[in-house]
Amino acid sequence: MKIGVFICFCGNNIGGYVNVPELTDYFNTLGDDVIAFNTTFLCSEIGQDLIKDKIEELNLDAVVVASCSPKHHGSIFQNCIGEKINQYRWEFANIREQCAWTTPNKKDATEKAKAIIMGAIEKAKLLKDIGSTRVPVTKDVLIIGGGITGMHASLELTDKGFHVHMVEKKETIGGNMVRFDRVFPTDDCAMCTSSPILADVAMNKLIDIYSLSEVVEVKGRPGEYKIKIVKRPRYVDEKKCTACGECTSHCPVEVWSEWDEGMGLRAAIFKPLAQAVPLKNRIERDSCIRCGTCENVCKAGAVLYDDTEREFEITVGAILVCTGYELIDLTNTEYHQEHPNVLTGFQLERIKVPSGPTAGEILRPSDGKMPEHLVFVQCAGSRDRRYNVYCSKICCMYATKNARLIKAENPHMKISVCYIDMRTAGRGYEEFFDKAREMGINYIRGNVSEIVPDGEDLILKVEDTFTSEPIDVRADMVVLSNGLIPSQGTKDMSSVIHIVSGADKFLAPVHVKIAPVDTASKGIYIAGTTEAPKPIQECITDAGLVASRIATFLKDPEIEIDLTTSKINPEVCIKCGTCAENCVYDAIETSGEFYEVRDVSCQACGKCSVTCPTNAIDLSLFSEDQIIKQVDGILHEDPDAIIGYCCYQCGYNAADLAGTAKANIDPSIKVVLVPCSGRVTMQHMLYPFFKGAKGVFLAACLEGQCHYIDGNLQAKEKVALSKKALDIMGVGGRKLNLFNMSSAEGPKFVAAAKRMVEICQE
Amino acid sequence: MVIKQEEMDLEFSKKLASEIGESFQKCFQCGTCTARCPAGNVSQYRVRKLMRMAQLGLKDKIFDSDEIWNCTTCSTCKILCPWGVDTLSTILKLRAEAVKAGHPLKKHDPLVKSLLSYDNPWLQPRNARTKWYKGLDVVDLSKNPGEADVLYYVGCTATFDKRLWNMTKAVVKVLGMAGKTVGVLGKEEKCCGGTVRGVGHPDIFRSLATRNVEDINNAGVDTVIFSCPGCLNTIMNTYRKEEIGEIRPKLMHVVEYVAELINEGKIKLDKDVKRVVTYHDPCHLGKHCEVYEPPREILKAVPGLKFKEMDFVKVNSWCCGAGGGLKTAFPDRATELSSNRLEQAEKTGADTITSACSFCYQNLLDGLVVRKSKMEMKDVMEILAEAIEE
Ligand SMILES: Cc1cc2nc3c(=O)[nH]c(=O)nc-3n(C[C@H](O)[C@H](O)[C@H](O)COP(=O)(O)OP(=O)(O)OC[C@H]3O[C@@H](n4cnc5c(N)ncnc54)[C@H](O)[C@@H]3O)c2cc1C
Ligand code: SF4
Ligand code: SF4
Ligand code: SF4
Ligand code: SF4
Repeated sequence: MKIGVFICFCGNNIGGYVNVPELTDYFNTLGDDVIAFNTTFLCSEIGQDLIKDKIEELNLDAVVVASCSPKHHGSIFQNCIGEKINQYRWEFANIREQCAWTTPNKKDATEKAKAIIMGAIEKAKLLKDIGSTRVPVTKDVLIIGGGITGMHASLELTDKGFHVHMVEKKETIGGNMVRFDRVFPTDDCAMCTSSPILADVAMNKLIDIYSLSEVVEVKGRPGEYKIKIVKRPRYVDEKKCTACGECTSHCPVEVWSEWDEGMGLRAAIFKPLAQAVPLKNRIERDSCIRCGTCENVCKAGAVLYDDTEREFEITVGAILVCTGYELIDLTNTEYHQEHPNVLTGFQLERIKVPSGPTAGEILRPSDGKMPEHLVFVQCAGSRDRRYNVYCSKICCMYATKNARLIKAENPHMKISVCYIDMRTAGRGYEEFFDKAREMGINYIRGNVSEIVPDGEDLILKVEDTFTSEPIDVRADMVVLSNGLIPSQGTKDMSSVIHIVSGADKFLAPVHVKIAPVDTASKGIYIAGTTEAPKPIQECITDAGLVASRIATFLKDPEIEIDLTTSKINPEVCIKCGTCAENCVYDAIETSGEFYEVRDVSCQACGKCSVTCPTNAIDLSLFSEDQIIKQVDGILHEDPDAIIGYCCYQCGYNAADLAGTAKANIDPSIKVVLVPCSGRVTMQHMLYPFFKGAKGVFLAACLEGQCHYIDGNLQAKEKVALSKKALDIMGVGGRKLNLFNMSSAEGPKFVAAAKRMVEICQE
Repeated sequence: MVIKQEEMDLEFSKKLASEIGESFQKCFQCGTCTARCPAGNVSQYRVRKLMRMAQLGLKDKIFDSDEIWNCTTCSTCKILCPWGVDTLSTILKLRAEAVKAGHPLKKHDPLVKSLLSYDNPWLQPRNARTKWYKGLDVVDLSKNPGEADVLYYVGCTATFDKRLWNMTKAVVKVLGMAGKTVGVLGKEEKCCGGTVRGVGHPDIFRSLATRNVEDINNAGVDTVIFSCPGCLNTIMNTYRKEEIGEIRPKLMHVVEYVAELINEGKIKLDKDVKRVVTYHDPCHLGKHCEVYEPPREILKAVPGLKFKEMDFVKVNSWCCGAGGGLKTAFPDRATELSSNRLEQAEKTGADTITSACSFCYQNLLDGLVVRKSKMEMKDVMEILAEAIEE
């Protein structure tokens, strides 16, 4: 087995911290089967040519690439190597993010790089060819969430000829935008902009809309997902109801309307808006007193008191999640959202809408008077460690929009905006803000420390930081610019579909910069405010991009799946069925006689191989022995190392982020990549100790967030068992630990590494 | 005036960060702190600006002005800061640096000298510490260790200010009713050091603290009770933070101790107290030690008493202005603040303002005079004593 090692200077990024020539010389002294080279930029054309030339010239069997994180240019190297030998006959050594950038001392960094590369060489020696297979795809697309993002994406997809199933939780599609008055930066009427879109979606023959519905289960594989949907009862027959409104006008019930954010009233049978899609009435059963009136007046005979919940299944090739956002609730905080004259951003939108509860007049709820001094409070629940640390991005603009519109209609009303920074970047945005000041809107640069209710009025404690004067601002109506948070539906989908979310709880793309709508799972996508707070314009951009990504994925009748999957060795298998029981993807089938892995269903998490009593089932890539060999290689160079098994979805990303942030990490920490923490066997946990390692840890996703559903829980169990074994062996179970972190939590990885070093020094 | 590049000593701010943590460097100048800073409400002092000057390393500008000496150490800013800036440690550190650089506040000189000579800030002889308990049944634990149920750490302010003796005596009376013998350290008691630390002398603080840890451990009791939350916070929290040494007995404010006794039915309250009472949360008891409920439980247990809350209470309460050396340095600002707080108290319709702090006691008393208020100042323990039959 002949192995070529290619070490990259990455300009100064690696070369400045690691002695690359010394490394190259070192690996050239190991023997004939290892040959090392270096170059300035391995990912460049010159670098790639070097790899390809040497594979051919020297008949290399496998390649080790020592450079940046595989999350960066992994696919470039895979493709380059694939031109000459099997594309899986290469192994990376991440000596940039996880070595050069975290180890300030050049000597330490060079030694650490040596160990990392040696691990990769040892693993490479066991690499085998991995083939692929072709599977058919279903051309239907599931879109979850019918907001502006979902609607726009559905039209783009149907234009490309795909069939769309749109699942919407509420009684109508449209999302938040259709509840607004006007929208920045153009100030055009939200409904006028969206009603043509609503109508297009409603009439499109290629779109099936399921309102009052939610996805409760997703099974299957990329290209063929089986979706279970639950549709809640509407108590009105969608086929018969003509939306004439007779029922609504006769219904005796009047309760606060959720659609109007409690600013107006509704009946128990109602439609949320005139342009609702589907345009059907609905009975909300909690408020209905079952008087029977609607049934009597409905000429279409559409009222269906005994309507029931319905569950059904569809099959789709790809899934788009665009379940959107909601506002942070600031009731009973220093913002006093519970005070009748303190409104949320949504509430103001509802009373500004001409068809809304006050016919567009700005009247304060407590007494219906027009306010004399209206104050907007920015960053309410954003940029604050007590709530959310992130900026909600759009509230500076939406507050300014409403301030301008109200000022234009009511020139005598005094309007102030208290803010920390005005974030108005975007085409035409700064001009928009400039105009607001010209109109006489009073911007006070200071965060509101507290809103103090004073009867029906409010006193805002704020410092005008430009003059350095604390001011008691008296207002008779306050509008909070509540921060955006992921909607409940977004959080639900994160667990139903197993999409990883960030520390901010918004669903996380596989790469924020270069793959903003892709998730870690093939065929599953996110877009719009499900991913982060953003304005409508960016939702539309996302929608276009995601439609294109989905179309690319589904364009052929078949997709290729690499067989990095599990394999069963029939000679060792005792047919106990443990693997089949444990596989959450139903990927292991039995004909009664023997067990076999269904390649198209297997997600290559490797959890099965951990449970098999005879080690009969193993992954093709990340096999039991490959991992052990990698550990051997590392410990050969640094017998005192601390081995950190990091899962592909979270732990490894967090370790990379720690490097990007140039955090200091003890050089004894050596990362070993695994697909899932559930793939780490007890042998992997114990073996390093026999070889002298100081400690072992696992870095896995947060509980409930495992990309493979329960891998980290399985790991937790195995760690507990292994800890006991280590105690009995006198090594000390405390030297083995599991840390949970999201892919965005670099600092958590740093803390975990630090903790391990402390424990191992005790 | 133009600030010269040389005046921006970024090394200075780097040094601050290495000693107290880098949180002040994250301040994004939102002003949340200033808007609620009590000191800033009665002076030109702006805690936000101070953080900015610290970021820029404008040390001469900081040392030359009296800005840093205005803070009452109430901790409001630290609690409110959206970015988690440890404003208070930054302020105290800047004070210490100012003193080190030869810029102490002159008005604090007598206080510092007194501490060096007499172990108390009020220029009083050590012997005078025993005056308040003449004739009372109190054990001197410095002479007879272990001969009492609790050690009562009286604190310099209540020890020497006659106006507070009714409170200290009430503590002895109430505990006596519950069958507890009260011990003190007599003339061996020393200032906790909180005030000197607060005005920029960490070294004098350390010397006092080290001796206090020894005295407290040697008293032979399980529990130490405090009337002054300043002392409690210093000995319980600051000593730990500054790693002075382990204190064996349990430390608690007298209201916590007594609230427990009442709960256990050990104190009989049989006299009606015809008062309408409101309660002022001392910053050092509330915001610093997070003790909010016990004083309220005690007041609510008193028969005949009507309890009224002010608008701003607990973590949200306004500082009375007594702390941080403000009362010594700028007495007028301190009383202006207590007067403001009393205005909030008057709004409740109460005839009595209560608190559980020697410093607040003094300052609110002064405020009552300035305001010509009809309210009366009482410590929670005084009210409790009124409810107990002689
Ligand atoms: C007060 C305010 C004013 C604003 N004004 C402007 C403006 O003037 N201009 C501008 O550009 N932007 C504005 N925005 C931002 C704008 O609202 C968003 O950019 C846009 O509406 C986001 O659309 P979306 O489709 O991503 O999400 P959403 O509008 O939140 O739509 C999500 C949809 O998914 C549905 N859903 C949720 N969970 C599930 C589930 N589990 N299953 C099925 N369906 C589900 C929801 O019911 C909803 O229909 C404003 C925001 C606020 C808060
Ligand atoms: S049955 Fe229910 S929905 Fe129908 S009219 Fe009566 S209250 Fe309204
Ligand atoms: S967009 Fe403006 S108001 Fe909203 S969180 Fe960001 S800075 Fe604050
Ligand atoms: S501690 Fe209190 S007085 Fe001092 S700066 Fe902070 S808020 Fe102001
Ligand atoms: S509240 Fe915090 S971030 Fe804001 S100005 Fe004060 S110290 Fe700075």
